[in-house]
Amino acid sequence: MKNIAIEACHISKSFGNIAALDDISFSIQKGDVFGLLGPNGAGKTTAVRLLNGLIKPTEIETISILGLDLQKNIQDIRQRVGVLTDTNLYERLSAIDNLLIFGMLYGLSHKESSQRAEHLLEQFELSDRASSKVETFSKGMKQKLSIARALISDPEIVYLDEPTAGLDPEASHELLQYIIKVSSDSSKTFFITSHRLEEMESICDTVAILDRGRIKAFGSPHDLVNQVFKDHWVTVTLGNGTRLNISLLKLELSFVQDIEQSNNEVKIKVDDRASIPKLIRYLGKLDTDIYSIAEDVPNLQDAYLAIVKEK
Amino acid sequence: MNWQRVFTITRKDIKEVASTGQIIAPMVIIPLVLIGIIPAIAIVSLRFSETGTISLLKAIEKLPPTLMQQLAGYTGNQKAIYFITVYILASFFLIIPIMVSTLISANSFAGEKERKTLEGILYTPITDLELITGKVLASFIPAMAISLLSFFVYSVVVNALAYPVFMTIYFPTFNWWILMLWLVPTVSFLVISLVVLISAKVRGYQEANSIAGAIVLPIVLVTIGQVTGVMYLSAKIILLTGLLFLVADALLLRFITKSFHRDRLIVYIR
Repeated sequence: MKNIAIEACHISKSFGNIAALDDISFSIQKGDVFGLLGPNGAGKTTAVRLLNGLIKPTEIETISILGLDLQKNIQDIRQRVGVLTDTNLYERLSAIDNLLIFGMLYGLSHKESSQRAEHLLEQFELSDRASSKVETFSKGMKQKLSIARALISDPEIVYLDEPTAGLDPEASHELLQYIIKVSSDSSKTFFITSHRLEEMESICDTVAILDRGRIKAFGSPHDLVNQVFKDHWVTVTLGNGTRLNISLLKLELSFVQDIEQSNNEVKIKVDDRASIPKLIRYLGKLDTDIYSIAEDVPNLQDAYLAIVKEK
Repeated sequence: MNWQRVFTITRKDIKEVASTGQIIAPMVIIPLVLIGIIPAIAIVSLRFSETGTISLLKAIEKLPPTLMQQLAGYTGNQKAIYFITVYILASFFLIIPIMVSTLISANSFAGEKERKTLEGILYTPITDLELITGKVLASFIPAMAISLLSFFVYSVVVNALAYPVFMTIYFPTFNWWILMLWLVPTVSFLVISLVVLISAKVRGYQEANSIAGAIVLPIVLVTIGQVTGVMYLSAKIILLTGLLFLVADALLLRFITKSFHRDRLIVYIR
């Protein structure tokens, strides 16, 4: 229990007849980067709002944040978390003012808020625009400032709802590197919702796939992929007009389970990953023009699509 | 109550309003017209028009004896100017803070909902009472500042223009001090709280402004009518009236805090 940052047990939330979250349960370890993945309308933002006590669940067993019951200790919990959702900054105020306001709302003194704000502006390369009004910022700059705002109180848990939305690839990469650095340097826990599966796969320790209010899968990205894809496929690219003798292949290699041939590409399913070197040795001996042999390694996106498409 | 958080909200709202020309312009123009131009025209026309003074004196004769006693010893022209500047224009000093504060307070929650900035604040440790108090003060402080500044300007204008008639500084009277420092703040606080409540319940600024106008205006008119009457009465009664408003302020603030639900605010932030 000591090492658990967020624990939710049997939480449901409905808006009228629509179930936004349907009996979800999960727990996230302290210091982990957790990714909540799901299509639009899956309930990701509802989950963030619910875990921050902004909306009340329709049904609940427990929500425990940093070992504290959410409903009984909401003020203490708010003091220790930072949140970024799809909210706007104060456009008519300067970047530094936006951060100072939030620092002081979190109980930091003016001096502490200033120091922290300056540090964050530097970290997000916005120092030279500290006194500029936010309305003059690009979308990417605003997003960086919003993230800085969520970090102003140096929170133990940081909720980031679609943090890379609006950021160019370079800025996204920088932000993700920053998250990796912060989470490894400190014991901060990150709760991130995103559509960008490739990014999530690279930074998350644990992910959950949320679809139509239900958690469909939970675990490390690697485990999730392995849960979904148990088969091992190899793709062989042949020269134009070249074909493999499929019947012979099946006859001679007992570990081959299935073969799909189309144009100059052959997909071969083997019984075990350990059989792949044997297959490569066999293909190397054939008098056939082979351009490449590659193992099909499914990623989180493949697993996500397979899970979400599953009715 | 954490006052740092309260004043952070107040400062933030005032800074935002100060950067909006649309709100600042009426905040300057309305007081200027009410306490500069109208009183100046009234005094100058009474000084130089006998018919105006005569018709006003006829109206004064119909007033209660207590008021007549207060005006005893003045000449006809003095009576007319005194009556206008001390009794009739008093109601302007309720209009000013109410107009100013309605412009700001209608914007408080509704404006934030419209611009999608409110949700960020709701995640911070600020309590509902601190947030509401901060919002109310963000309207109350500028409204009072403008009212007191207007009071000062009005005193200068009235005394300067009426000096040739009275040959002395007669304004402000004791009742005016009580009006400005006790009744105007308590009445303004009530109106502001009411508009903040409306602002929290609706989706946008225009809606808040329209509803505030429809609900607040009749209250303002009734109050203004009563204030004109109250000015005829003793200081004790004005103090008591202010006390009643103070109790109403506290009750309304309590009601707003009790009826404030963050999750209901979020329903409008989509």
